[in-house]
Amino acid sequence: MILTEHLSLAFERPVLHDVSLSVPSGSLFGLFGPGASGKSVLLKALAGLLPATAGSIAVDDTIVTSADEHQLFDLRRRMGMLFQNNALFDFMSVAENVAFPLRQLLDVSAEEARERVSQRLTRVGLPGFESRMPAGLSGGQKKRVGVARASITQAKVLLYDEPCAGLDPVSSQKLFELLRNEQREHGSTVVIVSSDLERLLAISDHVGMMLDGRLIFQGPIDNLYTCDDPYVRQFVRGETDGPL
Amino acid sequence: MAPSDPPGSPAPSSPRHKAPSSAARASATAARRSMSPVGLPQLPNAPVPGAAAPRVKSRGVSQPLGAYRTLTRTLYFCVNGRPALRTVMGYMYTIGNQSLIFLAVVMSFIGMIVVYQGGLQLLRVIPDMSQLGATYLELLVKDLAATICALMLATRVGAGIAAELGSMTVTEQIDALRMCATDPIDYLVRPRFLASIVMTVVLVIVAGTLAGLSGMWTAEAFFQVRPSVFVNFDQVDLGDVCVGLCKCVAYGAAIPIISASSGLSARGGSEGVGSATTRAVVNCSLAIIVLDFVITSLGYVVFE
Amino acid sequence: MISFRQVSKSFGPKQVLRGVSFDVERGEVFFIVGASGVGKSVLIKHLIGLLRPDGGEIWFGDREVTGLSEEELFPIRKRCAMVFQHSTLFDSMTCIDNVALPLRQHQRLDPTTARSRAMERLEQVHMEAFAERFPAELGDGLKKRVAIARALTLDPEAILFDEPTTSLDAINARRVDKLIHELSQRLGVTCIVVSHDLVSIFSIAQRIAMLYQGELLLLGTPAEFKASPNPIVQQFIHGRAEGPMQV
Repeated sequence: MILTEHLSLAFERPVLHDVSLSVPSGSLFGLFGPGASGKSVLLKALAGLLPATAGSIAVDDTIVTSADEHQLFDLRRRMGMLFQNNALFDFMSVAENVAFPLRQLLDVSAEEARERVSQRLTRVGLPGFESRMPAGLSGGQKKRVGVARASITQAKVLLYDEPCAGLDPVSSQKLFELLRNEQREHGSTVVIVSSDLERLLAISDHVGMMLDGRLIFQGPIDNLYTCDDPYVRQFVRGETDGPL
Repeated sequence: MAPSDPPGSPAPSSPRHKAPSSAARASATAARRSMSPVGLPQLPNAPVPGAAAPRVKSRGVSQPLGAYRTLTRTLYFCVNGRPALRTVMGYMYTIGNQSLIFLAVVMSFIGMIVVYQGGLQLLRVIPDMSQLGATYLELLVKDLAATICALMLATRVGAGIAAELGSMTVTEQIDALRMCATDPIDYLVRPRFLASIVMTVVLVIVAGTLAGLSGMWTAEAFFQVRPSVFVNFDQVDLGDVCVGLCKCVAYGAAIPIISASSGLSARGGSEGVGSATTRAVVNCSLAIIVLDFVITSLGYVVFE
Repeated sequence: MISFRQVSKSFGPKQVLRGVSFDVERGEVFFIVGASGVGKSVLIKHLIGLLRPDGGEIWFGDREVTGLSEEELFPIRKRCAMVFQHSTLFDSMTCIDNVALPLRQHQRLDPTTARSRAMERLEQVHMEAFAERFPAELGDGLKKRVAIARALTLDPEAILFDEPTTSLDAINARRVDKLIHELSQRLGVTCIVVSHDLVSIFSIAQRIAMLYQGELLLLGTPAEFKASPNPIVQQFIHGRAEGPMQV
């Protein structure tokens, strides 16, 4: 379960205002909204990577906003995250990147890590990429390596920032279905930020929409289509004319 | 904690607001330019943040550390961290490899220049060259070798560390490390710190020796001082060697710490990496000069 | 006006393009589509000489591009601009200075003239209100527009777009589509778009070339694509996970 209460966050200027998000345990939460509306910042705040200005965040039984370093590290052992820019370690090969959380978090032996990495890469559609360096991959391939690294520990809480940006429709569909199936299999709590609205809505149980740093809608997917908020309606239908 | 809004309704506690007014944007821009951390500029219609929940002080949430915190955390991990001998060896090789020739050339020329200029001054006062070598070697051991080498290493090693960690910061790689419950200080800074201390000592000894040899050659070529007269360690006592070594270790520790803390505080894009690198070199140089002064003074108090 | 003839290219042991041939007409909106990593970006980089083919010819107007030296390529790159995936604006300059940069570099115009020309370009992409802003202050959709304005500054005959709508939300993506459509209609610019955004493909493409395993699988109008019996084409345009397509 992920809960935020009146969360506000500011760098030089305010980014999040009074966000009260609630993601039920074991659900797949789709978060969407226009560019620069604070989705990525919210995701990083949930992982305790950015300090909140006000309000609180709870992930499972950890209060992220008041946790000390050890509690946060403990929480992150149960968390996986895909960053918007993938954040692959560019001095490591693909296999080392994907194996990194296994080695650091779970102390898995090198032998077992190699096995799991190659399985993982096959599942995201990149078999045989182990020894490639991130610099030589296309945008979509980097994304998939990022997904493999985020999910390799089978964490209970997974945060994906744009998992399918730069992927063709067929690969995106496969990847979204993979994320969905794995979420069902492990009963994990997953938050996905994506601008591919159609596919995101097709797999989400709950959804939320951000606009200018505010969460203007959240709830089960069925409530989205009956929502009469003009901003939400325009965005979901992808119309160019409207209040946005 | 409970969800404050009934699911499924547009969050009622979020009054709609249009894009921030141009005035608010301008002030935000001005704040960004001046690079000063400012509080929350209030937006029109925005509810007062913190009215519903008390302002929190986050303890564990990572924020850029200053150089002092970076140092204490690095020392903490040096004691408590996992062994990382191979990584440290790797960085030692990199530091040595990229700086050895550079330092050798610089120090050889410095040796020639100092002995030549010093000799000229000496000729004017007492045309007795027998103490030229002894004085020069004392200067070299106590101060010159370590300080000049460290200033050069700041441009070479310091800039490298700041640029590397800076670009890792702006591409979220540092956050990705944190998500793997790995402290970037432990994983990235500690091995560089240890490698830099060892290699600074080694490089200073090698380059300092070269400076001595080039000085010896200059003394013979310009002032007809025989090498057997020039190489005279009478003026160098244990205290001088201690002070010189202390300086090596202090500089070797300061360069990676200062560079890493500026690299880790890089913000924005390539511009942020650039300014972090510049800041690293400037701050390292300043720190070296200040440390030089402090250690020299302490040496005077202890040994004289 | 642009033609690829039997272009092939390998990176190490991996053959990315195996003899791809097609022609692009003047003023056309031409889409190159295909799975991620199939070599679409590689293909268009050949046109402006960022990559050299192992075999085949590429004609731009009446010039053959593949044999040209770096200096000889400059006029080609002026005639054929490219909008990169990540907009690649310079962070340290305002939008208008970003747009004015090619003018000052290539035509050595004085700053005032360059800025007034740049302003015209920004008006063409409806960005005149943001001229004095820094790119970091803008969202991705607006940055993309500024990048398109910069590509327009030297009056190119053709513009290459590398995934212009990737990572934009739906509304911004449609606005960029509309802009590309306008460019070809109003200014007669030939637009070659690498994309796998199905909505843009079927809303603005005049012709589509689909690459698959290094070869041209199908070339035709959107209607011909929809009617194609090829199961791989059908799987792709419906974005289905199951099917014969190897990705």
